[in-house]
Amino acid sequence: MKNGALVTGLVAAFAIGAVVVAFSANASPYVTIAQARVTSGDHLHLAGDVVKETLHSDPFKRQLSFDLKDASGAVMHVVHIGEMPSNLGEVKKVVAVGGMKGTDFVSTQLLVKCPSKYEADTSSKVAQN
Amino acid sequence: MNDIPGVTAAQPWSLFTGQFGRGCIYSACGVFLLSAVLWVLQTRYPQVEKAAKWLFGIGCVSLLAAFGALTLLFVKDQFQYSYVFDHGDSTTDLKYKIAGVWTSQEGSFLLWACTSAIFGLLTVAGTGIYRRWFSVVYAGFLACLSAILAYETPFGILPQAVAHGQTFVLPRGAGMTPSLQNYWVVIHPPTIFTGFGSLTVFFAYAAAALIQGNAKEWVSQVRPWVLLSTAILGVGIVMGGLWAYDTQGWGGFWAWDPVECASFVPWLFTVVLAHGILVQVSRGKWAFTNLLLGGLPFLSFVYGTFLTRSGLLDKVSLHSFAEMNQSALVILRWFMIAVTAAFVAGFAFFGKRAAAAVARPAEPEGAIEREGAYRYGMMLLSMIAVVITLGMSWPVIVALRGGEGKSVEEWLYHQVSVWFFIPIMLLMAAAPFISWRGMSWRELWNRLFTTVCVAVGLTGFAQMGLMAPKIGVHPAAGETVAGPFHTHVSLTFWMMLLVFLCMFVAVANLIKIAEIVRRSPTGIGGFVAHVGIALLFGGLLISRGYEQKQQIAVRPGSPDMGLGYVVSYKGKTDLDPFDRNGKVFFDVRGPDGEHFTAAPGLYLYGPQNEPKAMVWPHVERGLSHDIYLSMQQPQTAVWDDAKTLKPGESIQVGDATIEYQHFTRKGQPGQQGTQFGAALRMTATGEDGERHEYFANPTLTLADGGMKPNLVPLSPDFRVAMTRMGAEDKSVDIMLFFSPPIFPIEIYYKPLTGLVWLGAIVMTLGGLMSAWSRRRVIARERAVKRVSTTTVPLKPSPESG
Repeated sequence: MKNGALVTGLVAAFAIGAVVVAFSANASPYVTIAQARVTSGDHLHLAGDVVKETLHSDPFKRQLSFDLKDASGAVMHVVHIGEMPSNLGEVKKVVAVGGMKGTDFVSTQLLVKCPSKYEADTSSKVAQN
Repeated sequence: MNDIPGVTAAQPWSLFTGQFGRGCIYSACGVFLLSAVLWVLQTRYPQVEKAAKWLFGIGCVSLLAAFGALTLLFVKDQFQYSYVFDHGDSTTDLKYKIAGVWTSQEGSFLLWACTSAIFGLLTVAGTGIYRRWFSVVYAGFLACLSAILAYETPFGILPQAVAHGQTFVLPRGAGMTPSLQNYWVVIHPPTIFTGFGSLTVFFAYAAAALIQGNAKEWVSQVRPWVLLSTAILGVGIVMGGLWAYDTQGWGGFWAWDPVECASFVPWLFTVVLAHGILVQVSRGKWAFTNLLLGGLPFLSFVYGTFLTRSGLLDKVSLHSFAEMNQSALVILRWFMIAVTAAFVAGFAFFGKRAAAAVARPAEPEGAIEREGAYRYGMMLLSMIAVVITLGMSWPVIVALRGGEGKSVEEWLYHQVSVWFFIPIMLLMAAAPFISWRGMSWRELWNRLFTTVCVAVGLTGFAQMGLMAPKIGVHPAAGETVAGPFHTHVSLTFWMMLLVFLCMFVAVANLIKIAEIVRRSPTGIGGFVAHVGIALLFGGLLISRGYEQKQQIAVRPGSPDMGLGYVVSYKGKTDLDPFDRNGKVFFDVRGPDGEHFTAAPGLYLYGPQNEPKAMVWPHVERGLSHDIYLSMQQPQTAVWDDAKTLKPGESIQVGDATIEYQHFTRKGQPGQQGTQFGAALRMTATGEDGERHEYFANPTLTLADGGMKPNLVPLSPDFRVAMTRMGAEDKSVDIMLFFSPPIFPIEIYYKPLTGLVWLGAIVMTLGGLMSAWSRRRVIARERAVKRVSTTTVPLKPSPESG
């Protein structure tokens, strides 16, 4: 019985260790625009604000393009090919998942930060000051 | 400020209500602290017990009163309060006004406090010997939550609303985010927070059992609450998935977002606890482990709350969060650290002592016994919970090691969790047939043989059914899914394996139900819940694994086809474009005579001059499949920017050619009203297959404010405007617009999605059934105790024997 518990513990520890290794090796990196330009890979996560005026979708080619501005203020032209997020007009922040192709960042997945429950409005920040 | 229309002075009652709410929170904080202190002193001064009990109740009622006050402010549109201003709207329905209470941080903390308080009131009287320390822990927690709410108050007044020493009610609130305005926001948060509130009960029980040094009675007392919590949390999580499915437009239920994980991990630990208690009650074992398991659901939820509200995950989570008030965050952080440290230390030092009182029966005889199955099942479930916790914390872990932000994505979660999922499903099917006394492998195989055969057969039938032309699941030949270690597995084989596991669990538990239902009609709850889980996972796997999707573009008068469905535009609601009930209608005709009208939502919101479009998907639910139409906002502009053309140049749009023939002018240069224009010629293939010619002359008119463009029809499909001209080379900039607009639609075919909801219902019913039956057991035991202490029974009662 004691041995059983020991073996169980070892197997569990091994499994968790394996998961940690898997996560370390495969977690997708978040990059800034400057890093994206020099990083290869097609699972880069590029987070930033959509520059509204540049947002355009092309239903013929079934793709979407916009300029993305990251926290440092750098701007990157993003071409998105794939599933269209439905309420892009409403959101500001997005995470584009993909990689560089020439000077464009081509994303295959667009994670939309939904301005959900816990978002603060600017007015409440004013109120707290 | 009085002169501005719509702005009125705040009524005294409304200011009083806010003050009252604030006061309730302060008083709750003080009263809970006092109650905890009195309970600690109760052994020395027994006379304080009554006061301590009353104070606990008063604290709970204060929190509920604060909630009531906030609700009243929302219902009565008191926009002088910043929280009401940010999340309330005078034009919305009553249900959204009420839901405004919990749409943000402050209100959801208040909701958590209130649901915890309700469970405190419901359970405290039945805690028996644990009452003292249960109350101390419970009151201590609620005092902390009240302190957080005192800093992060929902009753703050907007500075803009105060002028000349007087408070004014602003005419309208900012309103709830449009994507939240949906009936789910009314029912999902209260349900899931009811589940979260119930976690406090097990934590307080486990802590009290540790301190009292008695790990025996608490398990049977807490058992119905654990089962109830499993059901409520489970249904809350499923509602969240259904909400995402109904409104988000990506056709899925679950995205492994940290917020979702933060609710899933406590549920997993609650399920583990429910099984641990079962073993302790039936076999008198695991008293030690259960003390730890009792605390984990609550502690993991506190951790998840901290992680998602602290701003640490801001980059990763799809839900965006405001950073908490810093003082409130400090309280939450120290509460989390102190409580976790105290609990773990208490468990390490006093756990053995508390568990020693519980009798252990003889060791089982056979090679495998039920307890072993539970041990491995619980261990696997706990490991999934640990893995998910690791995954959601990964960005923080990487950052702590000095690395860049990294996140664990959906595919990685799937690849990792499947290693745990498969053995868990096997155990869920086999465990009900393993006896407590132990049995040999051969005996187990004999008992399971029929079940395996039936499950294999049903899987085959299911696969045949899914592949039938009428159902329409046609995975491309050789389609594969990514396996571990960079391998690829055939999709069909992989799906059959997973479907078999679900079938195996469902069939095994149904057989078990059939075996015992006569003997113990109320004892089947757990097995019913297992069947529900099998159905739910079966639905998730099939609807996601065999999902098909295609992007189409529909225009009025020009249908498009995707996945065999012809979608044509039928019209839209005759409402103000800003009306939330605005819909676009499409006629959808599928293969095999399927025919329905899809009505995805479309309306404008925001400022009148710069409105934004809001769209809702349409879900056509069916027995065999769902058709999910995710419409994006209609497209009008053809290009990003205007195109510059010189006379004689032309440009290609799809198969059409637009040629700028020559420059035109009407009137004298410099005179008001003079029109400069571009003569355009377009050739395009019409619906009859012939080439057609179209002409247009968009102009710029010289007017007071500069040059005014006009929008003119070019062809049945396009309109055109000229936006600039070059004086020297007579070049022009033209913009091209679709007329009528294009509706881009993503169409999904999702087989057997209905199983997800059916499974969730069955699972919840199973959980509630077993909670009910355990509650009855406790009531019976209490009655027996009462009888045995008041009268001397002539012969032993059947229950005690």
